Amino acid sequence: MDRHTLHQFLKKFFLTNGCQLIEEKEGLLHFLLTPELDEELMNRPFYWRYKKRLGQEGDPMELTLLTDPNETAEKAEHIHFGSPRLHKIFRLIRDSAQVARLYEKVDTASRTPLYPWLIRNMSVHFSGKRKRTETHSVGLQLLNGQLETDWMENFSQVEFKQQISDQCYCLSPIIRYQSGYQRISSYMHTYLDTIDDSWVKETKDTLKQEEDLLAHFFDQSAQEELEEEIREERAALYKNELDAVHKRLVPSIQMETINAGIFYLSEETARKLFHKKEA
Amino acid sequence: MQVHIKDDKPFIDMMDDVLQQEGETASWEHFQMAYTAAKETNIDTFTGLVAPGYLPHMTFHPHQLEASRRVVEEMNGRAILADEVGLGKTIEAGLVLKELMIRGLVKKVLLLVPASLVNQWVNELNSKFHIPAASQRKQYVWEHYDVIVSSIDLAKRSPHREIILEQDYDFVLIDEAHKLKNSQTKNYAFIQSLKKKYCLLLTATPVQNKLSDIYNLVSLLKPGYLGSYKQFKDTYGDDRRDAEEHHYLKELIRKVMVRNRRGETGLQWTKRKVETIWIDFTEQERLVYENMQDSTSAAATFAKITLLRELCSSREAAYLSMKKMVEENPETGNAYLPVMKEIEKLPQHSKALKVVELIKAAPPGEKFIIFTEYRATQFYLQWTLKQHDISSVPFRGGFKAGKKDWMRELFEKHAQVLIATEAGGEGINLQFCSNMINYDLPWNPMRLEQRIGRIHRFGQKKDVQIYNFAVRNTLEAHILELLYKKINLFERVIGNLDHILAELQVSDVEKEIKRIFADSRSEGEIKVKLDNLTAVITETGEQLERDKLHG
Repeated sequence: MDRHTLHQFLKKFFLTNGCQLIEEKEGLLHFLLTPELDEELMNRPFYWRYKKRLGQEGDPMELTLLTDPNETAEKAEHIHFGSPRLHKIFRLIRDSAQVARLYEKVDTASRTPLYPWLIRNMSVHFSGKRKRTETHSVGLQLLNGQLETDWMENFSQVEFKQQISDQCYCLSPIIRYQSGYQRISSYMHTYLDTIDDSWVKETKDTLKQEEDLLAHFFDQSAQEELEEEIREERAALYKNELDAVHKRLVPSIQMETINAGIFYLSEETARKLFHKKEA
Repeated sequence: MQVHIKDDKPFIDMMDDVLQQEGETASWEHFQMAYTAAKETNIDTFTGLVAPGYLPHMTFHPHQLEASRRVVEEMNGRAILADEVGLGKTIEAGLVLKELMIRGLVKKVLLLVPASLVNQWVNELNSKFHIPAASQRKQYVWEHYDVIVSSIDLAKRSPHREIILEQDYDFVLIDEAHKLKNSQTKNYAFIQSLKKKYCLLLTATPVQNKLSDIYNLVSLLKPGYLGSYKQFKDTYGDDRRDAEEHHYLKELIRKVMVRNRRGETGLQWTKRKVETIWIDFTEQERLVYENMQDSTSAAATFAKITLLRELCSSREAAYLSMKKMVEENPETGNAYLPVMKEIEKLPQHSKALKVVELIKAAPPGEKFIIFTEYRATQFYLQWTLKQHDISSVPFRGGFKAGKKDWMRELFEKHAQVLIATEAGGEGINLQFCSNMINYDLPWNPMRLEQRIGRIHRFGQKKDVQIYNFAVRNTLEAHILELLYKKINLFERVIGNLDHILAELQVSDVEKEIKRIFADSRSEGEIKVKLDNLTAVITETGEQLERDKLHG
């Protein structure tokens, strides 16, 4: 995320959460927070607890963020990728937008049907000797089972509303979204079968080596005539070490849903966007 | 793919609950932003370090990046970091930890460091790495914070011990790990029994005395890696001088240990230019000095040596010490009060005037750091410089972190001189300044090395000019001529000085030297004893060079 994108991202975040923009210039954003965001972001739980106990409304603070590292301003803080403040904001956003039910905004005079889609966004964690995480966005049309990838990327320019547009009506899904969710999982399994899995073999080889080393080390010492107590201690140590090795080196893949939703979409928009993609 | 795939089943139930309720759900903007936030934080590659990109305010040196990369990629997060002093082991460790945290491999962290460094670790992790570390002070901290810094002595005591042993740590770090070289100690057993997924051991001296030192360290990280103890002893013996012979052992160790040496870092170290500035006491000053030296009265010898040192620094330092002694012990008044009277009469200290002269002669704006051992001297110098229109800021180790940064910034942007007391020697980098005045010399070579290290480090672009001030025919002259010049400390970086001192088992060099001065009856005797000390330091250093585990 470059800093212009970050700037726009933050601006959108604070504005859509009802904060008042006091000042904006290149590389600087100055907001008056809402009480809710003050409580979440500003780290002053006692203030808010006392205010609530007294039955008073609190005065939310102002916050000035610098998205340009070269910029300076009074009482301002630099925000960048990796700063704790930004990660707090990311966390807030993720927690507050896990599930959506949204309708495409359609300007039409005639009756228009909207088709239901299940959109599932996922982080796929590959844990081996090292770790990496892929991001996937998969959409499934809940009438005919059509499946599309990179859904969020493709639909980023389409407008969706929390209320249905005039003249539009929703078609009922044939596929329940619970089974739709499952279908997307199956699709992911198929996908995972096709990608490079040399990391799994590497990890398993290392795991084997380290298990052997441990067995050798603890076995050698056990041969000497040890007292009962010491033997038990050694056994506990062995278990400890083996657990640690397994935690580091048993390969696994974990699918974590970032968020998901039911999106109602006109046939025309769907056709236009997926056609464009194929072209 | 031959691997277990875990699906996110709870999510669909949660989603079902939310959609059953007819209320409003997330807006399109927020839904998109949540996806973006996740996507931006997901790291789609197994290799390479991503942490530096998260820390734009930090500049890492190539050898630090490479060390951290090797620990994460090749050593799988279990390693000994054994860089020589001053190359940034702490930075490398912080980078490794940050990388593992960003990749979601580490959450619960325990760092065991010397008690005196707990706060520094906490500060550095927070300010340099944005890692929310807390220091262990209260019992509850163990369970409530994810990243804890503690001393090993505190951690191994009840009730902390029991709590810690119950925790599943993802990452354990031990600073000054050479203290764990003996596997028969309680500390060793304690560390061994910690549950730890990843583990870093930091030490500048991985092999101190015996080859088994390294065996014991490695066994904490990777039990079995070097075989059983008996096998190890049978194969390699225990004389560390033999390490050189065992190429196979060296290879093995290289796979679990990173060791950067100054010479190998590819850094162009700027030169150190050293100049001694001799000062002659005025007749009046010399008289006071000699009176004090000759006094055989109540003054204890140790105290006398301290006072003489102080007199070489400033009237104020000596005066305040005497005043305190008299207050604490009125009987000493007979001895000290007359001297204090004489001191009161002294005009400006010759040494301070020399400082003014030196700074005035430098090009305008040329910055200087003055180190002194005494607070009283610090105040006096500040006053003296002000009298001569030279701007200065004080610096002490006792300053809070914020004030330290502020003083550093004042110095960089507005003042010509920074006057630091000994305690200020650690913890700040002042490489934008290349002139250093040792107004008085510490009696511990380690502390002198640390002083010089403030300015002679990465980022220093100019040659470093060191001025050593010493008053002729005093204790100072002995220390300079007989201790520091002999071990050649000023010109070269003695990377393993701490190691040498540890080897000599001279835990307190300053006391050792004081004893030499106190116990000697003549100048000649002082000279002989100091000569012996420096000879041993030099030889041990050379011996260690030869014994180095890797060439």
